[in-house]
Amino acid sequence: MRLSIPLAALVLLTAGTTQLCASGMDDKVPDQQSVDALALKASQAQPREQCFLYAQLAHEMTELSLRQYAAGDVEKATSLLKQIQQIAHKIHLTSTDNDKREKNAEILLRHTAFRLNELLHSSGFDDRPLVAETLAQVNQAQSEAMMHVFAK
Amino acid sequence: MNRNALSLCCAATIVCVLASASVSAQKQKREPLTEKQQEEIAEAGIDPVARVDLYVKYLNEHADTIKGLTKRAQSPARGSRIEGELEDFTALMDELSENLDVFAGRKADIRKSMKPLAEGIKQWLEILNALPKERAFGVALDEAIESGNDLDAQAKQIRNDQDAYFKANPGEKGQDRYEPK
Repeated sequence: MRLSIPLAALVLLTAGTTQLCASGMDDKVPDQQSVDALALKASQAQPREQCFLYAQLAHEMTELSLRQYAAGDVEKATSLLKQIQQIAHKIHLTSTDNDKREKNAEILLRHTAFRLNELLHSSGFDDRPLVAETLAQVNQAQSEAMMHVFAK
Repeated sequence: MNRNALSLCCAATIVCVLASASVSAQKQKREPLTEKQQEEIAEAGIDPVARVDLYVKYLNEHADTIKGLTKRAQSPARGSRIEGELEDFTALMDELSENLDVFAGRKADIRKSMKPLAEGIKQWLEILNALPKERAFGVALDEAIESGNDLDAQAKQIRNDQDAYFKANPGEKGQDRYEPK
């Protein structure tokens, strides 16, 4: 009984931290410099690490694109969306079966898709086809990543 | 002190020891690729053939350097330099091995790179096995030879597997990864 109280506290603490991390995904607003640095890191990384890093890149680019839309810089925002489509293809090519990092990539992609969906509803009529196409490609990459997580 | 507090103290000590071990391991880690080579790897990006070819090129360059150093007169500086070069050589062979493992798992067609790789490994092992057994770099040499032999076995296996796979699946020639039908 004595042991069960600290154990419960530890479980609650871990759950709380995870929750904070999840909500923190949107808090960090990346800039072009950090996106460029991450793109370089992903291209240089070992093949096993590339899928996760490209998923992280797609996520940061999405956040930056949302920020550009909000600031009224539609040209920059749409340019980022086109780049996210290329990154989604790289994620597809670099995903690896049964890798623990694949799970983290899948979580990031799910959240990226969620944010793109938000953008789809807030973007102007002219930009919607591009956002929808990007969302479809990210959704596909996320589904593939999920399949790889459960692959044996 | 009750049992729970004692357990917590033990756990904290273990975490501290692991953290300090990790920090010291990071300090000792060498970077076998130059800045220019890292840029070339970044340009190759996710292209399996380009990546393998670059690693073979860098390993050839390191092997030439090691061969050149052994001709110099024995000195502590020479021994230390050869030891460092051998450590870089081993690290690069291990990185290449990891790359090959992933590309082979994805069924990427890397047959084009396998011949230069096989020729390279043969030459690298000849150079390593011909090195004099000196105390200054004995351990590093043994590790390099072991990594070289492992890479040789892995490359032979992949070459055989890829020949058989692409013969059975000619429609997948040149692919970067297997696509489920």
